[in-house]
Amino acid sequence: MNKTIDDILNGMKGQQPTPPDADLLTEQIMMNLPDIQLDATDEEEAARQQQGGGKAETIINIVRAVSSVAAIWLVGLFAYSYVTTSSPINDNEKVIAINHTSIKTNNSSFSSTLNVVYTNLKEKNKIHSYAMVKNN
Amino acid sequence: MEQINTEILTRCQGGDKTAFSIVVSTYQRMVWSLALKMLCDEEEAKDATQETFIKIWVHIKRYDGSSSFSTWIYRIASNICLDRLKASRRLVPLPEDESVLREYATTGDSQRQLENSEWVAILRLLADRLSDKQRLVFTLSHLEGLDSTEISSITGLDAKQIKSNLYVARQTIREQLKRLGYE
Repeated sequence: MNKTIDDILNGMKGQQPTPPDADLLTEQIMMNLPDIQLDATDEEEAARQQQGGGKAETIINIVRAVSSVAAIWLVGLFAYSYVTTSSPINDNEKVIAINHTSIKTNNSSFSSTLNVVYTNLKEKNKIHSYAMVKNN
Repeated sequence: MEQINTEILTRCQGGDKTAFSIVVSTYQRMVWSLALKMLCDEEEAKDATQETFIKIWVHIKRYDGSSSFSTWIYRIASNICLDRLKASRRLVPLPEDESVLREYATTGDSQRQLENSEWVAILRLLADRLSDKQRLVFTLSHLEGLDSTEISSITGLDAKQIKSNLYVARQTIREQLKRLGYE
């Protein structure tokens, strides 16, 4: 009598084969167990994390040093550019220099620059008129 | 399914080998059964069983009780079997496998327990065309009798994926049996 497909599949359901020599297999498993119960993967993971942490710290330190040097260099550069552009060579160039710097650096200080120019011209006129009075 | 008590588990987590021998003897048949049905080779199944228990021993501290201990063991055993299937050559049915199936099919006793060699021959023949995932889902669900929740916890597949894998596996096995002349 032949079983049907369902009979074959149902017959296999829930059956558990047994190992040929269960005791021997247990013995072999117990013999092969590592002596110290160490979770190697955990340890490796911790070591890797520690290493990763050290690396990150080194990178942060390098970035910190580089950015400090860059900041100092930039401050120096700004100071240097400020000094070279704002120190006039002589009095005649003072107004031009002041005027130039003011326009270049800040548009809002344009009116104050005009005031400076106006004051300087006024001073010159004063000196000129004083000399004329003296000559007369 | 047999379950181990928490005291033995705690002792195992503390490194007690004597307690672990109780775990081995309790779950050895379960692991062997899965390994034999998945790998269709007695020697491979023996090696996979040993590897499973060594891995359980090494990682037993990681068991947090979020799933049942047997589910956790099944998960480890399944991964080992899948790795071994990937590493080994494809299981090809042998000509004599058909006669083993014929002998089983002609037996009137529906409750007859299959021998290990019969399991190997019949599954090698029937599950020949299944993918590794389909084979695992079919073995866990149909042959081991686990429910969908447990299978999901073991394989990481959701209920829909389990259902579709199981459907395809059953259909493939039915087609194979039809091809061999069964109705």
